[in-house]
Amino acid sequence: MSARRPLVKRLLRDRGARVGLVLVLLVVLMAALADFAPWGPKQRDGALADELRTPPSATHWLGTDSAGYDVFSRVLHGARLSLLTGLLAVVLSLAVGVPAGLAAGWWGGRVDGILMRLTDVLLAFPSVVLAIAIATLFERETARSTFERVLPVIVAVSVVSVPSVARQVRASVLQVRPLEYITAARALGYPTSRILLRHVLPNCLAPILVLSTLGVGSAILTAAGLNFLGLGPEARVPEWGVMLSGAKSQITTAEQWLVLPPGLAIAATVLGFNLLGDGLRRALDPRSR
Amino acid sequence: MLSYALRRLLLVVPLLLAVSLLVFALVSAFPGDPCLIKLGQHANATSVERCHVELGLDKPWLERYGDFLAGALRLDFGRDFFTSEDVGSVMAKKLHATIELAFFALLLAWLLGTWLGTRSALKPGGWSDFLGQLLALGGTSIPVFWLGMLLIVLFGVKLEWLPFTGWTAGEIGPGVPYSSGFLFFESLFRGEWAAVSSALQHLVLPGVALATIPLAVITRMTRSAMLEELGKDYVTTARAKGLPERLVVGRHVRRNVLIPVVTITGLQLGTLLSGAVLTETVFSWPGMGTHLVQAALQRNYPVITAAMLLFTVIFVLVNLVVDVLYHLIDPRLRTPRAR
Amino acid sequence: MRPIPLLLALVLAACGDKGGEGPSGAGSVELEVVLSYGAVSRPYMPNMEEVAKQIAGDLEEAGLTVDLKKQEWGPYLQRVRNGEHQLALLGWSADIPDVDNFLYVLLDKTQARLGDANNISFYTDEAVHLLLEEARYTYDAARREALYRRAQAKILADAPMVPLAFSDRILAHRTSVGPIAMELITHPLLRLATEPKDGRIVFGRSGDAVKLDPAVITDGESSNPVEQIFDTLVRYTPGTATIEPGLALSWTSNAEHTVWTFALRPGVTFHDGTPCDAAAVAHAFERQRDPAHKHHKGGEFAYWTDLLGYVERVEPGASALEVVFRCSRPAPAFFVSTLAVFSFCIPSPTALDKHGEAFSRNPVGTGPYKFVSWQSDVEIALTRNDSWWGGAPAVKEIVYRKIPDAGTRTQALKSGAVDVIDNIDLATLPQLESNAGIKVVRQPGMHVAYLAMNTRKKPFDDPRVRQAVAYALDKRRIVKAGWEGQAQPAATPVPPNLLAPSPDLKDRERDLARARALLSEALGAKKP
Repeated sequence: MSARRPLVKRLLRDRGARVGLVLVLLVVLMAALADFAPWGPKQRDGALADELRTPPSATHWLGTDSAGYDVFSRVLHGARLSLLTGLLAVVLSLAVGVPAGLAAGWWGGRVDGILMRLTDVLLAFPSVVLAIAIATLFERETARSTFERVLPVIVAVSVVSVPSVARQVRASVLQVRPLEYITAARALGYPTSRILLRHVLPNCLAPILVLSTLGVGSAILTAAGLNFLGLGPEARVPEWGVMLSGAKSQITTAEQWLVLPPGLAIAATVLGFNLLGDGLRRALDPRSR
Repeated sequence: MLSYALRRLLLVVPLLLAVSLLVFALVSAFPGDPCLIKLGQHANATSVERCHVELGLDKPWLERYGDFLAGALRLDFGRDFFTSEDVGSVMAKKLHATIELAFFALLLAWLLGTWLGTRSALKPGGWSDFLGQLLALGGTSIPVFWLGMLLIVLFGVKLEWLPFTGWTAGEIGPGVPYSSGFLFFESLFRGEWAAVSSALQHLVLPGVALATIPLAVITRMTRSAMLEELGKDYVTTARAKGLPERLVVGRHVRRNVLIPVVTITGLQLGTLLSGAVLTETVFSWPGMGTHLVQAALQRNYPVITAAMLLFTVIFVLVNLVVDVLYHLIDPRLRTPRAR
Repeated sequence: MRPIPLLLALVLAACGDKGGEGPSGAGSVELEVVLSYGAVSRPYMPNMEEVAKQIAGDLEEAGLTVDLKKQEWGPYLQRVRNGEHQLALLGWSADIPDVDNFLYVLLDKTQARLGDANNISFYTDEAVHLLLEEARYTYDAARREALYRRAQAKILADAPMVPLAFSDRILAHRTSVGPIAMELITHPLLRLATEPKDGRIVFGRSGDAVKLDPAVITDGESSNPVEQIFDTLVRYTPGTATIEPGLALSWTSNAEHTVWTFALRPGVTFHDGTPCDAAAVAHAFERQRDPAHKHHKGGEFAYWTDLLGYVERVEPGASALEVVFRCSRPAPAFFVSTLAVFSFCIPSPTALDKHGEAFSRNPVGTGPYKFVSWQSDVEIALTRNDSWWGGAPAVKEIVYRKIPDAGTRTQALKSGAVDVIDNIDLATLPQLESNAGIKVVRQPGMHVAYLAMNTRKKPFDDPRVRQAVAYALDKRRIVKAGWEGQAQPAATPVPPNLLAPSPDLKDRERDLARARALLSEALGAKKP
């Protein structure tokens, strides 16, 4: 635990991590302030009489889209959904991947063989292909709320990232397992659960932290892609991928600028998490450049 | 060497079996009755029952999997729910279109990536090094479908320089009796130069968009492999002997750098195929990706199954080939690995 | 771990974020409804998604909460025909230019059978049914029209659906070819084109034909070439919905309208030389009717049952140029028009025998153009029939080329790669219209786009809720969003070029206060 303070300091000394942190905080701020956006995510401006798509103006900072919704407010609300997707997907993949990796690394042998062959099978699919199938599998006719509608995509994205989590944890366990203090703990007859939770897991935390941070970024990216393809929530939900798919249908005609705000938002968010993750990696492992 | 290839090949068989099982299990677990979807407006109790028998849905699960596997081995994936066309032969044409796009993107990424990587290794801290780092960040952060849309808006709609849709035989080479879906390669082979030029123009925008995915990794890999290689004794010796830098790099270093870069390029295929699904959708490219997405949205069961399986088989087989090639190129790796 | 509270907060925020944040909560009735639509572009509604978004916005301003549900066309159609929807967007393109083809098909109770419903509002009003049924067998035009007006008034009051818009059928062609006119029902009659003389017209369109056998096809991409290759017994006078002789020169019926005799045009032969006589014509119909016929195939011939199900037998008459239709009950007033539908084109019986099922890729008819070749997904080529009974067409060759993307199709027209295109992106029309080398042709269409309300499902079983929906919609804005403003807001389900709207029939103007009042009245009344 004493390592925490130097870690934060080291992190803040890293230029990439600083930029990443700022970007991530910005997105969190957007999500937090979404309720104070000038317009509701599905609120139309009654003053827009004939032309629904309007360029940026004082009342609509980023203009309005083809349905007459305020783009700026929808981008803010989109931050909320994206963060939710990224974080929940990572939590789900950790919930499955960490126990699997621990088991494979600790017991080895047949358990390891079976679990690793399973990850081989999952890794044999191009990730988007597998995600499409899983999102289709979990789609429910009865889904109503926005959360229920994005859940299949979240599950899909998390399943896709389970193998890398499991493998990372397994590798860390294998590193720790032969060390003396573990042998000592086993000799003392501590129950396995205690050894795993108190002695093995803490030593896997650093790589898991890095992987999770990077994972949030890639989960947001993949989920935006799936939503863009139409596998996610309905057309009016303020989600960045959905907004882009709406902008795409009018790309040849007019208002091409509708492409910019949601795309920039995705890129900035993902970049933020990637920079932060890389910075964490450097901060946690002083040997790496 | 041959025995290594054989051993790897044998390992692939159970993997593919497991993959086919997972694909089949996933698709059969999709919510909804496939027959209700297939029959659409003609559905009634008798026709649904007849359809169940026709598709073998009345049989036990394991038997259905066996039938599916037997069919898949003969490349028989049944008929499209909505067009009644043979899924396999339609998929073949779609596959051709995807291969051409992926090939073009990979070629582009390879040429640009190795050049940029080499340059930035030779001049660390220079503009190419900076550009390389920028690309590496962008390649993993910018959604490929967004980049595709930006390219469309800029070069397709605003400047009207390049086409951004229309990869069909009728538009690329009107009147050319194509026998495959390889519109570029077949035009080239037939010497239809107008069609070749049209195909190239059509390939540029989606090719560039898709290329950004492997580009970042190829650049980074070339750079680090280059740096490692440049630090080796033989380079110092060659330089000390007064060999021109061009020869040192071109003749000796580059060859050794090739191996890890080839490998990483091969391993990038998974992300490339994933990216292709999105890129194809943006550019209405009539490939496997658009086909799969369309089928998933329509719940077109036979097509989803076939497309997933095909995507995965390609990915696994290319990885196998890369792995075997890797061992072929690098003699040091020929000794059996200790486990 | 610190992210957990944040995560929880996000989940809660997203769960609560059901999105019905209308401009004000006043008069909100806390009712959620689902509006379904298809992920397609149809001639009657080119952009379903934009229409759906507008309607959702309109309804939310009236106090409902709307959830959109988009599906691919196939599953979507199945879903609505099974009556699984609450609100659904759909439209209808007429098979025959008759009021019956709109009102009876879309709103009669016989069309509301779960699974294959066309009446997807599942509107089963008995009075309307009796009126429509009577009108079917009323052979006097004026009396028929009066019956339809009465039915229409009752329908409008009950509001089982909200008609949204009537749009034009549009095509564009280069001025170097043509003139090419848009017809009311059929595809453009390319036999009427005069330029380029002895030359070629390339038709760029969004899809390829499925089959070229008139009896089994149901889609526009297939029926377009089929209409050039084949003839029907009767046909429309160009530019109108009136019937004129085709392969049949004249027709009569008995007093009960159960036996119809058609006198055939003499001397007509198929492209393969087979004479087109009574035997060939009877063969064409019997093939579709008789399940035991050697060229009959189960499950197909959808149009036969829908349109001619009452025909008992078609047989050669007293002479080789006389065909007799025998019906199980009086044929409806529009029977003869039905025979102009592409499904009832006359194919060569010799060619059917020769090719069997492969006839659909080797079509042989009597029409102004002969089939030459078909390269799947690329193009279909036709050449003129120099010995056509109506006189050889001026243009020698027709090529149908598939160009799926609307933008590319427009580009191909501008560059001259193709001469004619249809299915045009409405947003690009102004740009095409200003191009001197291109002519845009519009024709008010025989189709309607509408919002169906499933009367079998709550809350739309209550007419007050349906009326509230009708009052909530802003059709002008819907037309703006879904048709780029290029359509007429529809007051009735029947296009005005078929049944001019009665002067006393008034559409509901948008009236949010009234919609809210109706809603709270209906939903308040339901609560105990």
